[in-house]
Amino acid sequence: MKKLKIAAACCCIVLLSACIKKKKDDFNRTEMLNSMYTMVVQPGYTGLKDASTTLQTTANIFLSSPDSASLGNLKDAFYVAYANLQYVEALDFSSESALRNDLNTFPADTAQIDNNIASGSYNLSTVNNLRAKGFPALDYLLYSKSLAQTISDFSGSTNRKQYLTDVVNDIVSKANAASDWWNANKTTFVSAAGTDVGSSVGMLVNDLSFEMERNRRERVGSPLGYIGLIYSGSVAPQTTEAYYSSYSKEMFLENLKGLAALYSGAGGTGFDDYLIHLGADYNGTPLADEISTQFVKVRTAAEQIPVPFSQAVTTHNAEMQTLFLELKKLTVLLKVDMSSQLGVIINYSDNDGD
Amino acid sequence: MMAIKRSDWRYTINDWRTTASNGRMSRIANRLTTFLNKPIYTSPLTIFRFAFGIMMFISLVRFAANGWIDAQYIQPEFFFTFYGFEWVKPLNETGMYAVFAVMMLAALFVAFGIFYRISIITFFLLFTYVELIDKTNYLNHYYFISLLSFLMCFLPSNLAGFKNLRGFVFIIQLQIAIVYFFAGIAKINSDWLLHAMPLKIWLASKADLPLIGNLLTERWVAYTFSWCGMLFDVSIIFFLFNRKTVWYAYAVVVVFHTLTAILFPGIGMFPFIMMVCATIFLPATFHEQVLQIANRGWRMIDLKIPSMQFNLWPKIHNLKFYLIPTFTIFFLIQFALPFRYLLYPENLFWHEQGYRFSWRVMLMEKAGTVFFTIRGSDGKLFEVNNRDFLTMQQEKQMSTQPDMILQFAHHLAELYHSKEVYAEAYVALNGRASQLLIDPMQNLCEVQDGFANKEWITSPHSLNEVEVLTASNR
Repeated sequence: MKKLKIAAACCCIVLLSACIKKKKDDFNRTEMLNSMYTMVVQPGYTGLKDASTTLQTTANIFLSSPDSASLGNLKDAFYVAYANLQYVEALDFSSESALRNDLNTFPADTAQIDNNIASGSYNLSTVNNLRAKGFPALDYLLYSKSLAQTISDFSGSTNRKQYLTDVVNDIVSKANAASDWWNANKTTFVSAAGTDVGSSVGMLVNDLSFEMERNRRERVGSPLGYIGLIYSGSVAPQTTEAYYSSYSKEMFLENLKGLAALYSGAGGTGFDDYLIHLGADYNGTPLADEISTQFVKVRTAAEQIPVPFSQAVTTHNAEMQTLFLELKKLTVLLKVDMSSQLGVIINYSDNDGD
Repeated sequence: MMAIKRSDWRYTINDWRTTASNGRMSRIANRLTTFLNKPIYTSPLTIFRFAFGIMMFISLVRFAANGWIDAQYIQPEFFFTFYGFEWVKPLNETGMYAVFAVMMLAALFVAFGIFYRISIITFFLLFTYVELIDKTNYLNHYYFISLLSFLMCFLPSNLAGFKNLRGFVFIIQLQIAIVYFFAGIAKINSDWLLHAMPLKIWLASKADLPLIGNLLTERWVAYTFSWCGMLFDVSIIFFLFNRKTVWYAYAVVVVFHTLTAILFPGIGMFPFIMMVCATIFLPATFHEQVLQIANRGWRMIDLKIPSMQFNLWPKIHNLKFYLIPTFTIFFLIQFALPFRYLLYPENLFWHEQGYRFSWRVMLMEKAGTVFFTIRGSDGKLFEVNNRDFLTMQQEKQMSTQPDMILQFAHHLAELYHSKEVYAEAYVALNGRASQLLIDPMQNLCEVQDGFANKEWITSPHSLNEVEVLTASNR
């Protein structure tokens, strides 16, 4: 017992000395999460919610009077809403907040969409309709035919009208649910400031790497028709995101903007500040700078491609491959270097003890 | 009930003593046999096996409750077997749950001394079987449990009040001593001592802990923890073996492991298992008292259940001649394994050849990602998504370990009927920038796993010279 008392006393001394010690700089993760919520998450989801409401309004106007003006407005609203989705797509915190699969599983399954319209009976929440709804479906419905043909198709078919309504309503309800979830879970998000499994920091790091990997693999790698060390030569343009509207590059850049915002905190505190606070180094330069630079390199590589990705894989193949390579570097920096320096634990299982 | 019988302490290892030759060796042998054969209360062992059984039961229940039976043994479509143990396969879902259920039961039986010998042998075999299924799940403390339960198969399962040879207590103590000592030796490396890595990263990541949180980002704290951790591991057993210091040493053990349990909840049951195991060093007389009190007040769980009558090998609690070579070989192997890495060139932490089974714990913050490229049967190259074949945990473990990358490459080759598989693996070790772990142009179908040095692992360029972190901030 006596020994235990001594041990307890030692513990107290350690704890006391910890209390007396003053903080040396003012970085803390709760503050970072708070900032991210205010600067990125909340505006992002509010933007998406508003944009999808506008999408719904313009869709209804188009359906009641399909003409080139109303279709033009609908297409504009589609662009804005899709871009807003890209900005927050990485965030995957709960089934209510995650929109990636529900609203943007591409490429669209056009046969499934056509079947659904023809039969008029479908359930958009089933797995086999994952590629027949969301923005990829809208992309197909609004852009796959000429303007005149699209207007006449919609004018003539109740089923088609209904399908557009259902797809748009699905987008709106998912966007609203996500926005509501984030409004209700601000405290949970900000207070989970650890680095273990389920912590906000851990999940953000995971989401960042996962989405960057998706950019590399699905947005650029798939159309290039390979992925890996040596190029095989068969491109697959139809797998490009926003294939029919040809907005692949714009959507990619929007997505990248969202990821960069998560990383840098969009004017507030972000992972770059965290890495600087930790003094994380990358071969002699601060890791924070290395990652920021790499974000710029990826953006520049994408911006230098003058045509949609679906076209670029044939006409600007070298540039596409450069983009692919820069994305790989960025993926490694986020997934390996950053997560390692932050000491985040992403999956839940025991690791080796002392 | 309470009568202390003293009938069982007459065994000695005369056979061994007589074989020892004259001179100094003989004196050492004599002293050793005297030491090992000194009759002491067997209650440390009784309490040990009770505590061990209970800890194992709790661990297994926790494991099951976390859904890990499913996640680690049922969900995966592919398992990373150990070299030479490719024949070990998991059972189906019912089978795996049954294995764990039997293990839980065996753990309880061990605790209460019911069919002790059969129970502990069952536990040892099933536990080791489960650990051999997939090296993804390898943990040093699982290995430790396999070894302990092996040793426990030989223990006398005497009742309170019995005496037996000190040798039986000693082998358990020696096993625990090996864990601490080699874990300490492994910490004597430049990353740990000179750069305070990986603790610098791990402690800073705990900055949100109440009270001590702010302290953990301090550079000197990381160094203090690193050095104290090393000194603790290397020296604690000497204080535990010393009768004069054992109580203080045990208090330090408790403090140390409590601290690690708070700082690193990810290490799970390990700190608690070590705290419980280290009680074997406390004086036998103390154990005897505890046991008598326990038996007085706690008849529901009667530690005096006479397991002797179910003893398969009644003579085994006599430390007979054949046990000496068995234990000698057992421990010699354990002394040798941690040094097998010396047979390989370059940095152990980088290539991990000879890393496992050596009590290397908490030494690395190692993260990686690997891109596999395959030439399909149509001649075209494509990249696979690892997660289509592996669980998150498997992918994570594979990404930093060359032997697992090779295993997975061969698995992919088999799946795709391919003769060309390449892996581009980026790994960051202890705060250094990520770099290629293996030669990305090496067709992994052309190399086989084995104990030979894996030439296709890249040489970590200037791994020792790279300044780990900009020192000023950490």
